[in-house]
Amino acid sequence: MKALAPPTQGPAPLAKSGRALSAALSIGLLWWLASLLVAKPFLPPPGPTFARLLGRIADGSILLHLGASAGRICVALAVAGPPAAVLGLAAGRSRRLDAFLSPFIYLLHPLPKVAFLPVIMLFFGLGEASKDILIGLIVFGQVLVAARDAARSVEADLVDAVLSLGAGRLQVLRHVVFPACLPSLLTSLRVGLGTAIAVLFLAETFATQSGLGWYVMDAWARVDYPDMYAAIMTLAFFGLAVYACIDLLETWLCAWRRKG
Amino acid sequence: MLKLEGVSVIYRLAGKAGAGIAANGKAHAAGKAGEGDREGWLCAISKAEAVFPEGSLTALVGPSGCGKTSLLQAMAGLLPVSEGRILVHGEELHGVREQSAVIFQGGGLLPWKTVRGNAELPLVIRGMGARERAARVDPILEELGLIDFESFYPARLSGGMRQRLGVARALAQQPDLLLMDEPFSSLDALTRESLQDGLLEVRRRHLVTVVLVTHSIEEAAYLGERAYLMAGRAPGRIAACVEWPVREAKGAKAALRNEAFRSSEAYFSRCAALRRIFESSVAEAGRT
Repeated sequence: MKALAPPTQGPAPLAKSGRALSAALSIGLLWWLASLLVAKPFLPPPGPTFARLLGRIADGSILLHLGASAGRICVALAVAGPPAAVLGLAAGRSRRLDAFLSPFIYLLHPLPKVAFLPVIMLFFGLGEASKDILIGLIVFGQVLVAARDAARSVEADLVDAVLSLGAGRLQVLRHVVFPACLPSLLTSLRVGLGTAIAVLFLAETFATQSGLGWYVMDAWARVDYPDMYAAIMTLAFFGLAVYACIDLLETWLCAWRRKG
Repeated sequence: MLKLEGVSVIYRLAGKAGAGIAANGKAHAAGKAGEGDREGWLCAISKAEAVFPEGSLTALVGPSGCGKTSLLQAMAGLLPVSEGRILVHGEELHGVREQSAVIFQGGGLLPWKTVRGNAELPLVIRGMGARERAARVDPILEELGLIDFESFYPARLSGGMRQRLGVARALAQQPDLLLMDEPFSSLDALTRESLQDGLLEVRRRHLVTVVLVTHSIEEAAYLGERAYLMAGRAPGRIAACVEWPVREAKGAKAALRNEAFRSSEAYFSRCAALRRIFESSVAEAGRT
């Protein structure tokens, strides 16, 4: 016998995508109006641009560049994310480690990582590695600081409760600290990846012939404006997809936060 | 049986979070309990003497700030004792014990675990397999009326259900000692009364020694067979002990307290007596 029906999820996700769609339509409408007013080749109307985008998707050329950009983000995320989370959680739970780490964080975190682009390129060359390292630094900083702050504010009562059950340090980490910090970690990923995409664009304008950043600059140089806008749109969709992925992860991993 | 012999608890004030574990035990014992706080240290309890007989339900009553929670945490092995010792079944307590269950004020439930996940947590920590866990926890969830809500997260439970889940998790440990820290204080009166009766019911089915920390004289008088009164502040101390004749002797029926007992002469006189002792011990504490 089920006493209560499970909570209905409601139309939340549907309404959300509905709102996103109407926002996209509004932007398209404004774009179209602006292109009519400006009436210059460097602001083509959305229709032909979208057609061009579809064409580039069909012939696969833009997907290649999207893949290159997404690949860089994924590599940076995979390499920088987990160690940053582990180090941040440890610093948040250990006063000694935090006392050692905090000065570095305070000195280095406020610096815009993109300022290191020339330094990184001098050290690691102009190739793929430099771009991955730069993006990795951004993700690392965001996740590290968020993890540390979240781990610090874990409720002491919950830690005590689990300790009273005979848990060791690792079990406290697994059952209390990590799940308590997960929402903050995902938020930091959202912020970090937003910045990462922006910086990636800049990094891809140097010494490479792949990636959406390069594609935009190249189209600009070729005076192929519809192509340029097609790449910009791809960049926007890419960002949207990244955010949607994180949202999805959050609904899946943090189901307990949805109140019935 | 649980026994306190001259127990003092001193702990560090600054940054209590995470330090509450203090697995380094008596490193900072330093002796001088009773002097109150020295730089950064707080003496919460001074030289507490108490006995909790096997299977008894003893209330630990006192105003807020008297150190009763610290004393309970020390009995749970969560706070180190800086002086004296705590004996469980004649053996000195060092750290957390598997058969000591603690029920925290807010239930101490993990918001990211379901009702079942929370109830099974002590067994997960012991490394028990899923089937074995279910076999032990199912009857408990059934007994406490939580089985239909096993997939719910705590945020969706009522206050009374959350507290029942705290009890369920404690029972999953198969404890011989149940330490409760103001378990009913955040509940409304009707829920509180039904949970108090629920506790007595649980106690009849499971053989446990219960220590109940409360600030409510009424709760101590209703539930307790014995009560220690605490007074003072930083350090708090045990000021008096009250014992009531064991009603169980008259048969199981008499043992079951109920609405009749709540409005009986005996209950009111218990409350009045407790209050009198309280006032005199508070006055005494004020003089010294």
